[in-house]
Amino acid sequence: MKRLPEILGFTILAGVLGLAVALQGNANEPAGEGDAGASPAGNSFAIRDARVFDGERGIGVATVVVRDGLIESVGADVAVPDGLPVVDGAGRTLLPGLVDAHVHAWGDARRDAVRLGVTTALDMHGMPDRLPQLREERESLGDTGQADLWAAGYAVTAPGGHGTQYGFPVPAIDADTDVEAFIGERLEEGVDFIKLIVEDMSAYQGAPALPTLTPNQVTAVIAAAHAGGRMAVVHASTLADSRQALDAGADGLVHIFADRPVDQGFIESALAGDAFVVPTLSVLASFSGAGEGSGLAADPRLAPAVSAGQRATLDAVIPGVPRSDRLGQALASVRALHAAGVDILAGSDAPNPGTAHGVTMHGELELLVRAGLEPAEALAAATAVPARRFGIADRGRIAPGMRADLLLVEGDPLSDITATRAIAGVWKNGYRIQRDPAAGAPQAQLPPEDTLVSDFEADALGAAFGSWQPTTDQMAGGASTVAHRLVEGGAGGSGGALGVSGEIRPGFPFPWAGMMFFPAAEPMQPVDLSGRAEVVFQVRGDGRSYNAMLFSGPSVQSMPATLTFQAGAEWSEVRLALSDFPGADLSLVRGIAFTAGQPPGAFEFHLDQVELR
Amino acid sequence: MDAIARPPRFLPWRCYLLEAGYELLRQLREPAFVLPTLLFPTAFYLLFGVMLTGNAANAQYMLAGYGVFGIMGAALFGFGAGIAADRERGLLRLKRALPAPPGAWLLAKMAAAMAFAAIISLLLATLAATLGGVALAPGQWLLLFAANVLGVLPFCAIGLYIGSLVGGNAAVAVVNILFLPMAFLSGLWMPLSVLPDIFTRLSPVWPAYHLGQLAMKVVGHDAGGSTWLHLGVLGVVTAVFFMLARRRLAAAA
Amino acid sequence: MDMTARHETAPLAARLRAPLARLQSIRKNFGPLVALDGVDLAVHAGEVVSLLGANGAGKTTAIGLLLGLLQPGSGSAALFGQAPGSIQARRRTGVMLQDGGVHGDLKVRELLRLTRSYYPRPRGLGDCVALAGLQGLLERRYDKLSGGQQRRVQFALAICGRPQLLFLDEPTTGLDIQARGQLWDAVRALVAEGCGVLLTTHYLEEAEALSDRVVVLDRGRVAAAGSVSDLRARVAQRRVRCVSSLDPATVSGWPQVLSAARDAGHLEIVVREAEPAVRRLLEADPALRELEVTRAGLADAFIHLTRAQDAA
Repeated sequence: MKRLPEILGFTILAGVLGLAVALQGNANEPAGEGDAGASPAGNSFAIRDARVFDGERGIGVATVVVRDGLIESVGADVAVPDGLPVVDGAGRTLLPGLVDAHVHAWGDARRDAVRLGVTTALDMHGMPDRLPQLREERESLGDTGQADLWAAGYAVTAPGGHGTQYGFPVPAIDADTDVEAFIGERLEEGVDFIKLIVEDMSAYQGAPALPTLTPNQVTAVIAAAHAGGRMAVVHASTLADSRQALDAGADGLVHIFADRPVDQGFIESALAGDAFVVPTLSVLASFSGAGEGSGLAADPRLAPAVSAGQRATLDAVIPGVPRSDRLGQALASVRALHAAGVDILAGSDAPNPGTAHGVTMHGELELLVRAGLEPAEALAAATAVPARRFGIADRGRIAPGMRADLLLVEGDPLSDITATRAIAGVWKNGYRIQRDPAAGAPQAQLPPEDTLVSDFEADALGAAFGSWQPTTDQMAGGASTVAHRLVEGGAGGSGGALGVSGEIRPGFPFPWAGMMFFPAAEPMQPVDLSGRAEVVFQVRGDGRSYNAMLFSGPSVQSMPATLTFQAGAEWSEVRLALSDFPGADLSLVRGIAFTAGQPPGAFEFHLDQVELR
Repeated sequence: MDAIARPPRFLPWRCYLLEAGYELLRQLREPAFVLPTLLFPTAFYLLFGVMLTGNAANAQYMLAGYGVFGIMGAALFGFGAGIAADRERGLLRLKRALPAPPGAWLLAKMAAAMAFAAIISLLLATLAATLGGVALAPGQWLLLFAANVLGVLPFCAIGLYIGSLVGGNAAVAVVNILFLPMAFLSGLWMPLSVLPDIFTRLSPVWPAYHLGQLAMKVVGHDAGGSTWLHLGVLGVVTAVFFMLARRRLAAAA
Repeated sequence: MDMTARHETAPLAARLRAPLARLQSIRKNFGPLVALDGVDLAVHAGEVVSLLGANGAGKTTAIGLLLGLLQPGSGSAALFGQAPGSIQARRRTGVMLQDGGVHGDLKVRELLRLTRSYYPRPRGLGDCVALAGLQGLLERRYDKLSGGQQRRVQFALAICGRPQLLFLDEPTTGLDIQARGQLWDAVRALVAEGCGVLLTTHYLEEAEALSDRVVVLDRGRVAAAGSVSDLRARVAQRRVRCVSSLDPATVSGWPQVLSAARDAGHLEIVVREAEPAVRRLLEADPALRELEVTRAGLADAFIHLTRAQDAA
């Protein structure tokens, strides 16, 4: 009997700990293993006995067979071929991978999105250099591990207007611009659609604060886009501007205005033009101070897949006084539009404060249901409808021949839309996506054999591999400027060189402005340059001292390693040993920038024959 | 015969303060305890969490993990080994014979453990903020600190039980056998996903896992388990081990 | 220093007052082992009671019961009329245990401060130092002290609370003659103030020097109890010592001689009555010198009493 309390104590302990293991043991496993049966390492597998939502409606319990990244068959009586790994779908629902109809994607955005089940996204403003690469990626069926992107390239805006404040120069339309030629340039850059920005901030600040496109310009741009065979979508924040855009022929609006409720005239314009609306309710919720973002960040079903970066943007708050009436008005407008039959698309506008790539789509689905859509309609707004409206043929539905971009969730989102958050598995091109944010970070590629990066002889700015982009401290709140052009008279008598000029202005403690070379296909993706010894280039300029900044390491936010060089009046060769860059990780080089720094003032230098030997 | 000494007004609670103060002083005077307890987590964190990882997110994960590791060590060694040694020395008998206020010795040891936990937590936080590039909201720093300081209690209880069970040298050995594997298998040093499946599944059996998860919740790197589950397990562990140890110590002396 | 000074009158007066500590008909077993079997013990104010006995006789158990560290199997234990473990009772006692038990890492001053804080009316620091002979040791760490110095610190801790009852368990083990004498003086001073003392010791001279009463435990029972002189008288023996050339073997054959031995030039004889033996010695050896006759010491009594138990 003396031992009794001891035995009792340990029995209680064993019971409690056993319970803990039972409840929690699964949560720690690396993404997917064990919680959805076998983990297919390849891109051929079958999902058995799941409820299937095919993009338009639920079709009941079925088996889906995927072969080589494409859906082979779907049906209740489909037999699983021998030898194929099977994923158990009992009690679960299979959805097409989600399509986020409004994002701004850079850095880890596409990887963050795909972990949360968003396999395709539409980027509404960014640099055009990556467009060819994006096209290649979305046509490939490889194990990319990230969402595919369709992109607008530069959004079309007025000089100094909304969209020009993000640190890279944006071509703009002013009173004298030849709109057709301007749109022609955009089309040459390879944009998938044209996006216009009509925004003078009057909806937020009461009085107009920014220059923006005039109604005539809007009409002209949309016409030119259509003439070039592209859709035109419009960012507008007021009922008046949105109505005007619709009347000018816009194919869709990428926000719902919240300054006043929708009226019958607006609805009729939308129906007449067969326009769609991407209400981006999540960002309006963020404006209204509802805390939706933090709520999503705290949802335990989503948490294992959410990275710290996503959590940061979800918890961030839009500065200014919350306007709690905005969300209510927006919900009412969506309700009316939907009831009238206007196509509604789900979009997050990530990564604005209160949102994050991937995560916010789950919140957006819930908001759409609050605005009156049935769960099936909300799910369609995130799958088949955007695919149809944007002409994306191979995804957004679960049907034979479709790409195997799939999202498997616990429970039934057709009855409880928040069930989308309980993610049991995500597949992109038929390959399983790891849930752990730390996994799946891109491996540094080896660069192509070429040692010559750019000789600037061609008519357009280009490189043997990678890309060049302007970079200034404006993205950090500074005020410096840069412009680049190809100039005649390169080094060693060659034809052309890269001219870089601009002005260093006070504003940021460490000002910079110049051009950055990204060695990978995507800016800031890492490339393994440990096999190279030095960066060599020819430079001449105004005698100022310039910096070569090497961005490297596991984090995109690391400080660069810097070496200085002079740009004298005559062409001279500069050779910088890569190992001389202090603290650089040459196996993970993300970019090399050639920039001016202190003191403030105008600068100009020319670059030629940039090599990585 | 009596010196003209006016004794201070007799305040029983003064004993608790004195006892706690002297217990802390005692532990601080023992370099064989202080150095490993304070240096190991700090050095490990500096090496693995700051220098060998470039990345603020990793530095955060490790801050949570090594914080728990450090306070666990302070509690298990301070209580486990310390109590066994005290018991062997006959301290407990003496304290029971003297009119030491009830529980003063235990509370003093717990206070000392919490003080060490606070020191460790602050050291790591300083390293993280200055060298590791970790930036947290003030509320998060506070929560992490609280998790560390209060989180010693379950390990005090476990250490107390070990100390009541075995003698001085054996206690040190038992604590060592328990401490390092538990830290490792609880995902304090690296994410659980790198462990073989069976260990990952069993990880919630360790109290250190639950405290680690709570700390990681603060920095946003946990596995998404329920806070109440973690708190519940830690609470039960604390209660069971305290009660069992009490019985043993009451009988033994 | 007078090793035999005692306060003759105090014990009687003390016995008339209520006992500070009392064990009545105590039985205590540890499993099959009978530690105490029907023991009565009482300590009064102003008296020193020595508890004597071989190892395993039950001394530690008896003290443990009085201090509240153990519970009796049957019978009653009371400290100041209360349950021995109660904190009010303990606040009036001071304890010096055989195995020390003091924190090694603290300085003497800190130990005193801590222990004094347990008591409502502690003795002044200077007083403790003077009584225990700790001059110059206050800033030293306990574990850096010699064994004897540590014992003195433990004594200081025992008395620092101005207790009414002192438990001293082997207090002078490891102390040199001078230190032992100092401690005895301190104990006497405290007893003169009215403190009661329960003393266990292996040094029978110590018991003789300090005690008013002696309780002899043997295998869990009280073999004898009474004042020192009572006990001595129970043993009708005399010790005769002289320098003589007589052969001990011969002497031990004389009637009335209990034992005879040679001890470094001296002849030691234990006899029941001294006078016949002395007469015979003087006759046998006219060259005999340095004749001493003493009563049996407590050691002899002790051995006699416990041997008597054996025989009984």
